[in-house]
Formats: sequence, C-alpha cells, structure tokens
Amino acid sequence: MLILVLCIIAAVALVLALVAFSRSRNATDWASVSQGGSTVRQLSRSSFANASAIQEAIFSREDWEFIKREGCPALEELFVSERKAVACYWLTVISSRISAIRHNHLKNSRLAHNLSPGQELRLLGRFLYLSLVCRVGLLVIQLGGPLAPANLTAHIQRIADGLPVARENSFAPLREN
Amino acid sequence: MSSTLLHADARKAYDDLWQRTLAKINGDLNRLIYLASTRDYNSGRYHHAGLETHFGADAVREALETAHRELFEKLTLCSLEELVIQLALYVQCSRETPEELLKTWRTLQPYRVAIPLDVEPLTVHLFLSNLKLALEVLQQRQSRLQDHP
Repeated sequence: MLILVLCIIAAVALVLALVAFSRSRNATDWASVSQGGSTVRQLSRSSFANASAIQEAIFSREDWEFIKREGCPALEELFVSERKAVACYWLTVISSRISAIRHNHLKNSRLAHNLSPGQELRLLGRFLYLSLVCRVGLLVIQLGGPLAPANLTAHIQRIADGLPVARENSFAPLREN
Repeated sequence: MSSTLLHADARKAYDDLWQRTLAKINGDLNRLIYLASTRDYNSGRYHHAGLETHFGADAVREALETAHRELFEKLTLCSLEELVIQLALYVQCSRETPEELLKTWRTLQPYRVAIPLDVEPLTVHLFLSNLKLALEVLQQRQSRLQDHP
C-alpha cells in the first residue's frame, strides 16, 4: 500500500514538473530572426519539412500575441481551437515517428552481434521517456491550451532529432563486421 | 531565395523564373498562386511555355516545382502576422472586391489547389489552419471598416 502511494506521489510530481517546465518561458526558445520589420522564422534550405521550424511555428507565442492585438474574442477562440488541433496532430505525428524508430531499432537489433547493453538500456529509457512526455504534452494541451507545452515540445523535438543518430551509433560495430 | 536544384539546366531555369517572372509579382502568396496555376490539375505536371523554349521541359518542371515548394514552405513557416500581410496584398492585387474575394476564399477554399504534391500532412494542416486564421483576421478588419467607415 505504501509503495502504491509513493508511486502515485512520484507520478504526480513528474507530471507537475513537466507542466511547470512547459509553462516556464525562456526568451531563447522563442528565438526568431527579424527581417525588415517583420519576423520570419529560420528555415533550413535542404529539408522541406524542417521539423524544428514547424514545431516553432505551431507553438508560436508571437502568433497568439498578434491575434490578441486584433481585439476580437471570436478570433481568439478560433485561434485556440485551430492551434489545439494542429498541436495535438504534431504530438501524434512525433509519437508515431518515435514508435517507428523504436520498432526499426528492435528489428535491427535482432541481427546485431555487438550490442552494448548499457547503450541499449539508455536508448530504451529515451524511447520510454519520449512516449511518456508526448502523452503529457497532449494532456497539457487539453488543460492549458495549445501554447502551454511550447518548451516541452521543443524539448521533445530536440531529443527526437537525436534518436536516429543514437540508433546509427549503436550499430556502428555491426557495419564494421 | 535559393534552391536545392540538382541539374544545371534546372538551376538556370529557376534563376530565369525568379528574375523575369516571380520578381515582378508582388507578394509571396501571389507568387504561390501563380506557380500553382502552372501545374496541370490532372497530371500534376508543371508547364511554362516561355521557359520551355529556352530550357528543357524537365528542367523547367523541376524549377517550377522547386520554386513552388520553397514558397509554400516559406508561407507555412512565416508568422501569422506576415501571412495576413501577404493575404492582404493578394486581395489588393486581385480584381475582385475584398468582400467578394474573402467570402469565396472562406467558403470554397480555392487556396487548397496551391498545395504542392508530396508535402507532409502536418505541413499542409498548419498551412490551411494559418490561412483560415488569416482570412478571419481580414474578415474581422473588413467588418470593422464597414461598421465604422
């Protein structure tokens, strides 16, 4: 019974920490480049759907401030509902990508000879952490609105960007064989 | 704007397209609509008779496709405020009255034909959502203008 209570307390503390993390505003997370009076987010030329630029665009506080300046409650309502849908979709897409990478990694690891248990455990931890954080992100959107998990989603994006690299590194000895 | 064109002819066609045509069009949304109009509705292939006389059809197709994709990406990722400016510019350049154009765009959503092929659904979702919001912003401004001329 005591263990169950401790587990619940730990889970609640984790959720609260993630919500607090997502709500904390960091000026650098909203970094964008000003060009000629209007703000344009940085684009990567090579990849079309630049993942972090899309994340930045979806969870843009600047867009919300622009809508607020228009001074129309109906418009604010529409913005919240539109961005909520896009933000949830973003999290679903990211979550599916993470699952696909994980699935791929498991499939490949069956053929690998030189797996490092430590590295595999770290990767597993990262997959599990990302899946949990994606679910928390969806919850935060429902509770706090589409922009609430902006920092959290930037954090998810950063870790998810590192996943394929981690996977490749883990199979480096396999390629040498 | 620069591109990631693979072939030299396509690069030349792309530069020519920008210098002679796109640079003369006012605003990125106008450019996007123009580029979408060079695409065949049925085959999805791009055509430009003028460019094809100087460059090969394949090079021209690649140039138009690249320019279209780049402008779509730029408009999808720009701020909502910037998109509203671009939309206002498009309305201004149109021969229709703002009321009529806004009504048509909000109901028929003809801007959907401006989406390039092979774009990620998430990007399309964001673009359509932002354009819907931009249309509402202009509609609100238009209504305010009519109420208090």
